[in-house]
Amino acid sequence: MGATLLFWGWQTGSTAFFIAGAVMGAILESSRLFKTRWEFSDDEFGRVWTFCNVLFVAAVIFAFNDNGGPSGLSELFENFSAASEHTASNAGAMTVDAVIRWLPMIFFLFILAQTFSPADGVPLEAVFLYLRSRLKRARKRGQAVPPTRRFDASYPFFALCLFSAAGHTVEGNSFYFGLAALVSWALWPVRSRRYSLPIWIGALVVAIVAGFFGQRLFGQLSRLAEEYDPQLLSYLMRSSADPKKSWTDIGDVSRLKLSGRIVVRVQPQDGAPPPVYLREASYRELAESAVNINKRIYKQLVWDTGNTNNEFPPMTETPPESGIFPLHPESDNRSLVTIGCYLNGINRDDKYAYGVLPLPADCNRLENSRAYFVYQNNLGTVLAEGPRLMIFDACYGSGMIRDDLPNADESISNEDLEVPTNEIPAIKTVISRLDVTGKSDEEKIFAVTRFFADNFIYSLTQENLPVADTNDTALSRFLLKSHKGHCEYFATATVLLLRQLGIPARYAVGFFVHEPSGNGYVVRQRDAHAWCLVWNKKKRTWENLDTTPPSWVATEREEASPLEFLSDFQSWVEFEVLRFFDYSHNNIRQYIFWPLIPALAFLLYRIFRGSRRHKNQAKPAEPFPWPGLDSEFYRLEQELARHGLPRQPGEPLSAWLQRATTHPELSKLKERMEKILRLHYRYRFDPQGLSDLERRELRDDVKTCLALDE
Amino acid sequence: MTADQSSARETFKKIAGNIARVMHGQSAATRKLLTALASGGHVLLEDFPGTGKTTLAKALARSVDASFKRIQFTPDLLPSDILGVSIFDQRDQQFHFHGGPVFTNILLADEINRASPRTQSALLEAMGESQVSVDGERRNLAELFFVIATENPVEFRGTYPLPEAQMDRFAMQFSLGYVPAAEEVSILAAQQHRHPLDDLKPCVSLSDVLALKRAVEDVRISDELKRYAVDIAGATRTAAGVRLGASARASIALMKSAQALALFDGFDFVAPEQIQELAVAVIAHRLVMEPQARFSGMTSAAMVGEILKKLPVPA
Repeated sequence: MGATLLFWGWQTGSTAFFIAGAVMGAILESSRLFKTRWEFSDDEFGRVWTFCNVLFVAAVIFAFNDNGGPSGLSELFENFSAASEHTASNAGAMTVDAVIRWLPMIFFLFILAQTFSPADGVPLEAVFLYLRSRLKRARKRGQAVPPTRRFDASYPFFALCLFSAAGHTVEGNSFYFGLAALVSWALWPVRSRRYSLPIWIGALVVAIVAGFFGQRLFGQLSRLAEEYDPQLLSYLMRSSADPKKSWTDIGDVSRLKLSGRIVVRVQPQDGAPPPVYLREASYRELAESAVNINKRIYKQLVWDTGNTNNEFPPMTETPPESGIFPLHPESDNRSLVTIGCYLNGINRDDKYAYGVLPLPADCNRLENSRAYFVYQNNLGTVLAEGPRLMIFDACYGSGMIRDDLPNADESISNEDLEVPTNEIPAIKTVISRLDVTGKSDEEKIFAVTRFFADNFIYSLTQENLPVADTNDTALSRFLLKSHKGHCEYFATATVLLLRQLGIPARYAVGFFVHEPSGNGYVVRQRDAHAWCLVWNKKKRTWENLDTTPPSWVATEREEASPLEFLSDFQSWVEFEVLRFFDYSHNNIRQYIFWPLIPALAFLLYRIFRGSRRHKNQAKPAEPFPWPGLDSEFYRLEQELARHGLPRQPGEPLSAWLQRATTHPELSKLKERMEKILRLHYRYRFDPQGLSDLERRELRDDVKTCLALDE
Repeated sequence: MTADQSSARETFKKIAGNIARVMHGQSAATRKLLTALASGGHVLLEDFPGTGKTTLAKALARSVDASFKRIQFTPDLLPSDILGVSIFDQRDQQFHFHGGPVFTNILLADEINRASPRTQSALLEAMGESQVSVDGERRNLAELFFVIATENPVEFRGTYPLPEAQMDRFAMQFSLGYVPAAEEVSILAAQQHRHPLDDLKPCVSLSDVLALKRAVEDVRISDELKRYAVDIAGATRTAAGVRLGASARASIALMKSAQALALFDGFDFVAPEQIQELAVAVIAHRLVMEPQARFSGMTSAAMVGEILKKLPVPA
């Protein structure tokens, strides 16, 4: 036991804990040296247990306090935001962490009581309230007291120490081997004598080695799984659309996994058709990036906003507190759509959730928005900070776009016409096949569209082909060899082809709205889409150009799980709950915790009342408080004793009454008094006691008897 | 009172009435005997010859429709005479166990102090655990196994006083005593032509008695009276002049027999009177007195009586 505590102190890491572990271990082990023992009654064990529990609660409260819990929590109540939620949950995690670390100290007193008591083990009644109350009930009713079962608390405490130590391990394998040594030590006294010692030790070693390699294998398996599916990791790494960069899945990713989670809900007003494309962001510059996942390099193409578009100036709310954010000076709107989406990012500097808003391309105003801040860059990407669930009305349909124009100035390099050098050979090969020299922009665009429609199919999988030469890029493989890919391939290739043909183009990501649900539309994670924006010189506007084969929607729907309705339901519940909390006008959130207070107060009251009762019981109460000592019969007895008929201490009442009623004056009362005595005896000695009616009868009979006696 | 308890009380009354037809003026002894029977204890009757010990035991045995055996203890009695013996059968070349008189419901061990301690001890396991071990094999006795032992206090020659451990196994010891002259006349009158015992018919069945035993277990007793029983037993351990006090077995027997007596008296719970009434019968024979106390005329029964007087009775 002492070694376990020492081990706990060592593994928990700090010097203070090590000293505490050493001291507690020494105290426990000193029981072998000192033969002094204290008699603990079962009730006292119960009280020690209660004390340990109160200590535990106190430790939880203290740890919570210490880790900035209350401020975080109160902030959570008063000003519900993602950041305060984050702080609160962080405080919660730290509290749990600290309390787990303290566990052995908290329950040390209990184990100490067991160690220094002569009894072998702790009564179960001390620990289980139900058993305790059963015992009390049985005692009260005078039934046979159920036999007390005892258990050795040192093994649970041993497990507790190891659990606590596991929370904070020193790096390396020392924890595992220390654990193995301690467990074998603990198992030593209870080993089966049927097998000889070498067999026992052999089995133990096999178990330890198997456990060690099993644990190693588990770690390797999870690593293997990560290697097999880097998409999994990249998906985890990129929680929401990045306004500045878009990591495509073009590159060494063999298979796309798309979830059917509902991420956006769209509700067009006045039954208008919804905007087909909800754009989150658009990008100008393509680069290749290498990602290092578990010592393997994965190459991926990255779209980037380019050098000049990293600024996100804040939009002013006009008028203030109105929830209206103009995004574009033009205010001619034809349509209104209500969009609900989640802000998944948490800005560490700021306190709120933030994220990119999916908007129709020509949206120029946000209304009824609860966003705290809205930012927009000159590519028309809108960032919002606010509650986790954003619901707003987007006004659109003016035809006026928010993106800035392609560079007119020829002297500086036009990012909208840039093609990465290593992609140029493949692009040129394709263009040579298109036969578009000298044709107009419209014809060129049409040729590119036809090229993709005629030769390409949509696919979520890519074969991992060996790299042939330096110009063999993922994109060139798509364009020249495989002729299949997902939307990012199509959009990227289209952008590069158009740029090479001299038409400014940009890469856009967002959602494709097509799935009706109720009187609105839902957009799932798998409806995320990429397409390109083409500059229309005549109209001086950016137009959407989607070269992905339309079969992509059907292909991705095939991937859907048949149990999708379940996740849809969950998503709906989540949406409604968030909407209730964030968008109901009363501050119900603040009051939801009020009912908890009486519940807590009641619990405290129970504890204190219980402990008071324990105190009463603990007193060596002599004489015992027997039931029925308030019987009125004693008044009768006193009365007769006053008349010279005292009862001897060893004389039972019936014998005394027999003697008393031989007295001529009392003989007339004989029958009545015998009846009273019967009732009194039942009141005193029958564990079932008297009914209320009989109790009253006893009272009244004694009264009339006394009156007659007078 | 529940229906079971009422019918159990009927059983009590029937047996008591049946015995009373033979035993004149011995209702107090009959009460104690039936109390012991119902609480599952065994009885040691100690009295002078001719006071009706054997007659009382026989009357009880006749009243219950159960098997009855009698062993006359003599100095040459062997344990196998009580427990039984395995005998080799020539025909099938095997040993067959022939159960002794202990395999019965009611056993009368007459003049138990005449047999050697070895033979007396053969009854120990049977009385304590309701089972016997013969030839290393355990054999259970009948569900109702009730031993009535008798002994003669006046004789010393050719007797072996019962070991203390054996005494502790008897729930009660009491004596019958001489009946008043008028009662004795009626005994003579009853036996003028024939012994009334011969006319006694069973009045209750074995299952009635077993039901009675179960009903006794349901008689309620409060913690206070349990404490009283324990206090009485405890007082004997510290009393002056007592070398060996009453054991916990004594207080258990006192509680159980008090439950039976309460049922006999028509209560469904125990009152202090029942404990007081039985305390001497249940406890006194277990005490071993100091020689000085014995010579000064103090008996264990008187000692228990004194304790009952001194100890405040719950009222």
